[in-house]
Amino acid sequence: MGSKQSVALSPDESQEVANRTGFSIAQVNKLYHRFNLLDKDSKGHLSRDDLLAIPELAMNPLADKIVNLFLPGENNDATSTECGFLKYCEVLSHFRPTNSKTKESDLNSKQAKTKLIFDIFDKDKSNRLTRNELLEILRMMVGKNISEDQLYAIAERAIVEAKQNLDGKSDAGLCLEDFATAMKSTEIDAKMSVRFHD
Amino acid sequence: MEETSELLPIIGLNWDEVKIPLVISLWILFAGIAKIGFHYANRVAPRVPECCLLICLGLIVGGIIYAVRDDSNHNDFLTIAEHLFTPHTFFLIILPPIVLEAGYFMPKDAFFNNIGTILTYAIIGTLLNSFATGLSLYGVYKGGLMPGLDDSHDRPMGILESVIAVFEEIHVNVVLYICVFGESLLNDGVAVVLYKVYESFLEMPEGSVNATNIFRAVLKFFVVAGGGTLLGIVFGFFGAFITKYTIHVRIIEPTFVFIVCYIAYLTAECVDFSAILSIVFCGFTMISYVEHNISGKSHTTVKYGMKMVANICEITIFMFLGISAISDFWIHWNTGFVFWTVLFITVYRFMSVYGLTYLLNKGRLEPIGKVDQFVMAYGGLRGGIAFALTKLTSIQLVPQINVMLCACLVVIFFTSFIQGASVGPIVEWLNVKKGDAEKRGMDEEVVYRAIDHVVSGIEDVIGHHGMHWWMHKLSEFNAKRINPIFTRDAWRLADQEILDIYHRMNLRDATKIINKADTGIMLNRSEQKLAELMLQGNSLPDMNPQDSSSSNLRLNLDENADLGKFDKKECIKVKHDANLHHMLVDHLYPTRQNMKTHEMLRTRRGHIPAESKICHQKQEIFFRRKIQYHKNSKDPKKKGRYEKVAGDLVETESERALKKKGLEKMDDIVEEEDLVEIVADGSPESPDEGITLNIDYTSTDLSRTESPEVNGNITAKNDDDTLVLAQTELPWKSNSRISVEADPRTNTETGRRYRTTSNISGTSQEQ
Repeated sequence: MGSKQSVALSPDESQEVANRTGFSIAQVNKLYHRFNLLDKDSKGHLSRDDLLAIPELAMNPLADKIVNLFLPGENNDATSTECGFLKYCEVLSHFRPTNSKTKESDLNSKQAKTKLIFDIFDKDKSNRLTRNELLEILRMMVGKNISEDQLYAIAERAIVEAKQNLDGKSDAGLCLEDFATAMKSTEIDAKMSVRFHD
Repeated sequence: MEETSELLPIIGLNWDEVKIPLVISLWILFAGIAKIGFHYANRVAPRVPECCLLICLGLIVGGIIYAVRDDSNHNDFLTIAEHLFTPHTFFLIILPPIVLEAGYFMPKDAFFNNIGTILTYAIIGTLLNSFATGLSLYGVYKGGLMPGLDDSHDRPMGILESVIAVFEEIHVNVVLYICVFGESLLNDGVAVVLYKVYESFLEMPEGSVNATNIFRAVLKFFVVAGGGTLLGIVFGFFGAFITKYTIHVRIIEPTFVFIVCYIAYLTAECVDFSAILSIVFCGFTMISYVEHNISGKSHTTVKYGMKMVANICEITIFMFLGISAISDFWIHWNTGFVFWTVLFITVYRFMSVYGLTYLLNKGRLEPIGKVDQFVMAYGGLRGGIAFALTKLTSIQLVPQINVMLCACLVVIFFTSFIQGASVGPIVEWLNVKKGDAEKRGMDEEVVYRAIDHVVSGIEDVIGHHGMHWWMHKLSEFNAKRINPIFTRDAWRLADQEILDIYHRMNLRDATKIINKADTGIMLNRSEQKLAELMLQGNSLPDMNPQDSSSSNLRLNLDENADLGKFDKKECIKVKHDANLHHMLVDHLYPTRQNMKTHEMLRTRRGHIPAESKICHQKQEIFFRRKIQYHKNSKDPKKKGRYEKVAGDLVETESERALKKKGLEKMDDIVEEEDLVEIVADGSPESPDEGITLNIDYTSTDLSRTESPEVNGNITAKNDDDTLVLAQTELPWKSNSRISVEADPRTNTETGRRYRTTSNISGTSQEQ
């Protein structure tokens, strides 16, 4: 929706969002309500500070990564500092529960969810998950009482296990397909589902 | 002369005194042997669930006892059995272990994620089934049965772990498993509660079934169930608190776990709360704190103790079912009642499962599929609790109780045999989504946690206080407030989870690798990598390897230090010690005293004891002494002879070594994974030092898998005649020489030993 300042969502707009993301109209409206709540200065878009102002999110170890989902850009262009409503909904729609009707192209398909997680891990956008990236995630998730050594060992082991059925490319890291294969028994799609109320 | 004194009895019979414990013990022994027998029988009939076989066994035993019943003098077994297996014993002794084991090991994540579903099935489903069946039966047989609420009693509700056992074998997916499991556990509790309510009604005079009392009944239901749960949780915390201080009394730690849980059960029973719910939640609450407090050995004790007792009790129940069937069966048969009961129970079970699931799926994130529903409905077995409750009812209250008993038995048999046996194939036929047999790996664990955090974050963004949010809040609260009270070193807990998982996995894998290496099985590629990983240590490029994690990790080494807590340096030292030990054991001459044990041990490990070894050894000693003697003699002639002899000896020895050990030596050194040379030194220059050994570890090359290739190498080496080298250093003095390399080396030495003896059969072996 760009940076248009709109207080209420017109039915056309909400329909468009619903089509793009798969939410129902009621859900879209509810999300819009929340969007406005978060957008404190009524800018029409969300900034980094808006998101980090959510108290529980600020205490989340992976807070930065989550915010990066909404504000992905790295350069100082509009996409990295502003998150419009459509983008907001698109990101959130990844977390809709899957059911038998979900197509592969939908935003909440298993492939899309896996890719989302992969992107969270893959900091430098190299499409390969290296040991160091895993290490960084681990570091964020554990506290101070685990030493660097042990973290490294854990990350190393994780990589080894994930690659145990694959050969070669030992230092190049995991690509998306490898990651998906390694995770296939974890039921990522069930785990990455959030209930959206109407 | 008359003898008024009797003869002193030399042998006596004390049957009466030991009667009861002896019968119990024999009974348990018999049950255990039966279980062993079933595993052999399972080759014949793999599809039959164990509970069926046990019931059959009970039937047989019951039949035997029944047949000899008339001989009333030798009734001891039967009467004791009957006296022992009263509902009283059942509820106070046999049931608690089973239920405790179920509650203690219930997977917590899955339980909380599906708790709504489980509660719905357990409570609402049970109630619906009960009333529906009861009313239907009442309707069908209006005049013939006792009027009132107690018709259906609780037969629909006793669902036992036999269903769980089948599911565990088949590894169905977690949701299905937890739903059935949780439901079975909780509705046992519900069943007992209902039973109490029913019984109270029966004890009150007629006409008390009015609105007020029904309301009170409902209230009582909630009080009993809720009270039991709360009581269990309180005791759970209490037990956890005790274990916080047991660091100096490790030996009796398991006692606390068992006793506190049992007390929870008995206390609840005492105040008329639901004892089953109490003990289940006691174990459930306790486990997360207790696991951090108790030592590894105590943990094992608790785990296996619980499982063992639970198993025995289950066996007992089923056998008694069989026995009771014989005694009570024929007398009170009422075809109509039985038939209708079975029919109604089945029908209502299916209806309630499907109906409830339909409603639940509207609210669930992950809907339960049709197939799973079918399995749940079909696989719900009725079992011991139902039977025990029925038996418990005194005959005054319900005159037709025996009829019901019959029906109960039939239902149990029907569901156990027919449904139990067929649920396995049906599960496969319907392609029920299988769970993963293996536990989560480290990579999955990390990702799993990351996803947890992300989803919590998303829920925060939405502002939605979903399940994740509540669970997150709960676990935070737990970590901040509760853990410090109930666990020792709570500061470690928050981060330790991932580390603990890592340690556990390492331990598991290390054991697996060692076992494999010990028996000479080749490690596959992933295992090799893991082995490397575990031993290389953390070669973080920018970190000094000496600055190992052990200094940062505050070890909590107590007397029963768990293996996972050894630090790296200790590992190296342990390995060196192990090497040294192996070397010494292998190459030291055994004394006469320990020669026998030596030989025995070697035999047991697969070595063929060598007569010639002892001979050879004796010869060696003899020759060496001779050399010594000759060397020291001033006689030049003898000296010269000595040298020759020495040379001879050395040569012969090496030759002999080659010949006898040769073949073996090839195999000795023929190792897919590394090259080791054992150099026997009989250097003439310094016989004073005796035979010293030099073990030279060459490079460990894990990727070598071809033995012929290595063979070729070794033959080359043999030609070089490196076998008789002057010794350089003692291996244990040369720290630099023995670098910490992959674990398989140590193990492969032993592996080699085993392998050689197995490869070379018939020839005498020497080490």
